[in-house]
Amino acid sequence: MSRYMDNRLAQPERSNVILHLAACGECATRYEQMVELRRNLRSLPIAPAPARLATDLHVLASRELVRRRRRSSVSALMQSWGDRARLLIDNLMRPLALPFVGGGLTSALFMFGILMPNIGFIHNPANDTPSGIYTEASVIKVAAFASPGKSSDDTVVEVYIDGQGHMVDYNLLQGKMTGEIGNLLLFSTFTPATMFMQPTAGKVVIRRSQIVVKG
Amino acid sequence: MADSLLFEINPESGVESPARADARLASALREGSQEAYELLVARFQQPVYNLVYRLMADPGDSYDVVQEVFLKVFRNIGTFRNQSSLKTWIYRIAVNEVHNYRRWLFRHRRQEVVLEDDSEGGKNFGDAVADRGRSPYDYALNGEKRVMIEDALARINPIFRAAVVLRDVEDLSYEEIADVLDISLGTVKSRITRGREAMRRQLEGQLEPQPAFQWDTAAG
Repeated sequence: MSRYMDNRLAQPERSNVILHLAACGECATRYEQMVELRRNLRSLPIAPAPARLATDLHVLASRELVRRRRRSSVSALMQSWGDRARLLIDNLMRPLALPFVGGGLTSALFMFGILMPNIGFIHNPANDTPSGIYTEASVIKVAAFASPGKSSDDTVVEVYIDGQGHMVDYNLLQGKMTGEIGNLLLFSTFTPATMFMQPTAGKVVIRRSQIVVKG
Repeated sequence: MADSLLFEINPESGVESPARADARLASALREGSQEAYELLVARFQQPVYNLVYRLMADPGDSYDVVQEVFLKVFRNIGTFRNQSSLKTWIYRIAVNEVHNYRRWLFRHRRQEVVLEDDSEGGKNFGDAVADRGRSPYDYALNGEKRVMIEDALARINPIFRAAVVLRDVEDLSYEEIADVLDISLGTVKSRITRGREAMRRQLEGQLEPQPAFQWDTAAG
């Protein structure tokens, strides 16, 4: 019956089926049901493919084309490996990379910050011109006990002055320590040295016959 | 440019034969012509999707299976020998992919509980068919008859279903079906007959309109 429906029966089978269908009600009903079934199957609507299927298949086709070309020859394969290695390195370095201007400035600041504290400059205060940065200690008033001319020896004393202008120590560079020199040191008044306008410790060299001030 | 792969006009005999067109397309595919790939997708995307959709018990997975079909077509075009049409060759791949997917599904879902059992405690194929999620709205909107046909098609044995779909939905000849399924003509006839009979029994008494669904023509 199925082959008869599909016109796949040759004679005399075909004639036999026709005669039988005409005579047998049950088979005729079955035949009609099968014809109806086939008609319904053929009228089923075409299942529409999803819209993105075409796009995905085109992407699939492109990938396959690239894959085939990559494997077409040794040189193409090597070039493909080179491209992939280049891409891998680029992707690895990308998070660490900085724009040129920002990176250059950052690098310069970084190096400057590391190097500068370690660089020492040679400083010779003797040749410095007095400026607001530093002023030397000085003598305001020499004590009245001092009597120049009584001793024939020059006496040179190096006096250490603190930040309040008081003598904290002395060093006899030349001559002898006498009572007169002692009174001079005790009752003379001094101006302290300054550093950036702030009083600081300093030194004064006093010569009995002549006052020589040194920092 | 794409049209040049579709057909050629032979000055002597007119339009090119389908076999010749298939051979040229297959040759262009083997050479790696991007135009040929695009033409293949444009020409077979919808037919393959429709075939897979009708062969699968659960059409929700048709999308993935179709992609697998085309992937295999792209990679195995070198094995196409022009002994059959390109269409039957692609359809063969599609039928095999549906079969492979079904086996994969069976292996991975074997432990799932079947929703219904018959009274004798056994299980039949119809019980394992996925629920297509029909709603009453579907039945009303899409046509009750069409829904019954699709459900009956999904319930019959997949081996018979393939034969019925290829014959009655895709309108392939017996020879083409034998080529697609890689079986003899006698087996094709047998499977078509048994498939139709199985569907007829599924739908027996349901295709005729029931009194509850007859519209009152006087009110229309």
